[in-house]
Amino acid sequence: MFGFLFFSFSQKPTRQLFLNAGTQSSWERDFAYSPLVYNGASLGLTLGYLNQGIKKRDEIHINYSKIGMSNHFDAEMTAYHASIQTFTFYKGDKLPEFLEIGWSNNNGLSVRNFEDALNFTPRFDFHTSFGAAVRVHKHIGDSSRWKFSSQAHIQLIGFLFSSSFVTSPPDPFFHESSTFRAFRNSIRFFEPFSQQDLAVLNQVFYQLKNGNEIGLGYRFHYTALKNAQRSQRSGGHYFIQLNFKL
Amino acid sequence: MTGTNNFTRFLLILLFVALQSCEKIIRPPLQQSTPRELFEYLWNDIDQRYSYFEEKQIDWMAVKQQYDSLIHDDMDEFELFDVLGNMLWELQDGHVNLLSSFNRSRNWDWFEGYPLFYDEQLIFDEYLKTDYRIIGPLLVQTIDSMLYLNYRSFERSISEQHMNEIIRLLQTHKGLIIDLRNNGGGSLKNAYTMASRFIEQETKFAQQRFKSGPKHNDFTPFVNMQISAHNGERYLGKIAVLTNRKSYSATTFFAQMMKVLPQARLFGDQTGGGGGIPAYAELANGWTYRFSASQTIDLEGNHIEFGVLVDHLLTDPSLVIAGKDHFIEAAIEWLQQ
Repeated sequence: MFGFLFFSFSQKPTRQLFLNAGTQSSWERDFAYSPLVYNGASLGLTLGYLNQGIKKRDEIHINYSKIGMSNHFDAEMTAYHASIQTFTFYKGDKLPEFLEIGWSNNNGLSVRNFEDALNFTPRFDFHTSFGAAVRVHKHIGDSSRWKFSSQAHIQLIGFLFSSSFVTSPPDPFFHESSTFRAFRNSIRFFEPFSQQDLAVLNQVFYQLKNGNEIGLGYRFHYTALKNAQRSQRSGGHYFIQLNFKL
Repeated sequence: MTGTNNFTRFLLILLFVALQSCEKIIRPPLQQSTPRELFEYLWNDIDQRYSYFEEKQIDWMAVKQQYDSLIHDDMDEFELFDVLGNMLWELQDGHVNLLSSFNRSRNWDWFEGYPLFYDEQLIFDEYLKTDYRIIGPLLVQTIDSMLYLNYRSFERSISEQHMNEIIRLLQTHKGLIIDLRNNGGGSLKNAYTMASRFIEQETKFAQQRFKSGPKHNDFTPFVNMQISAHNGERYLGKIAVLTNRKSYSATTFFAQMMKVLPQARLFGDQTGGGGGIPAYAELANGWTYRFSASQTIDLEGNHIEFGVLVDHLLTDPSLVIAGKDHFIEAAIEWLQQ
């Protein structure tokens, strides 16, 4: 996907706080309730921090959205999506200047409130996982004010905590004597390929005279989890982002 | 150099644009389901998640074979609804329904065919009269120094403020009658809110377990169901609870709560049952359905799905008093003892 981007580029150490907002278009399917897809759009927000060093780049993204969704037959569901993602990218000596590779951690929560379900609701999934990440970046044109970046991650291993076969809380919470034991017995491994979580983030920025940046972006994510029941969700977040230089 | 930059810009814009709307591209399309696919999906989901096959001795595979031959590809939605609804009827469960925009299937055998001994007109004329109070969802009247509460549905919320007023009124009454006849249930929270005012300490009243896997006997362990005592004012005097066959679901749970209290007695006819908490689901054609997904047993191990028995059975026709409600009269007599 990134193979045709052979550019030279250099970056100075910086620290930035960023905030973005825009339309989050999503769909979701929870097989414990329905084989039908629910979709909708709403406002999505991300707050983040990045620390760009000479050889290493760290990012933290906190994403949140509440989306009213409906299916083809107008049945409604309210979805809450939240995630805390971290990325660490390294510039390898043998890698092209524009390319960084690293790893990421995704802590993702999805809560689903189906309007017609009066019991055992809401259903939810939470996963915390680790995986590989890659980033390409490039200044556009002769000016160093315009820049483009694209980064992607795929989660490979971690843990999953979600609603049970029928009940909303994991069922150990009904019968275990301690909350800790219930939590421990509710956790399942996030296995490669059995569980899937990936995302792509594209951004274009223009640097203002004061060093801050304004930009446009698009973040796509897809998650498919298999616990006592299966669930899938995907979203595209179109946003305007402000980067504040610290 | 300028040509290279233009090419770079072009590639970046191409990449930016190419990766838009991915979530829409991968969204699974809506697929028309055939009657057979819907039949199979519903049968399988019930097979895996319904909670009372063994207790009701239902051979679900035989049910499938019985209804399978009625499914054909050119049947219309009304015919399909009838077949699926009839298949669910076999579960003999008031918490099992199929819902479409044009009908709701049900099995109401738990009260149909039984005398209900509840004449609303008589209760208004003889007992509530015209000066009864309305406290939240409760119709409240004093009858022979007893406080009479008529609760039509546990779907209507009872707040702590409502119960504070009930407890205040009970200070000047000699006993309490809670009339739950024809109360088809609703939210268990309301049952707990009421019952918490009638106990001194945490009280176990039943045990519950939930479906945890696809086999018919895949359940969580049984866990205790308990009422926690309210922190504020409570009433620990005598309570008469009136039920009939149409007292169902949350009302059955409340009857079981009262049954374990030493100062309470159940009068009338057994409740209709409804001890399994219903889970909700949806078919690919947009119809929704619900089914029992848990089991509840009383302290002797009996499934309250089949109803909570009363302490004073009043279904013998010879007990009926002309112009009076013999359930209320029997309750007053016991409270006065």
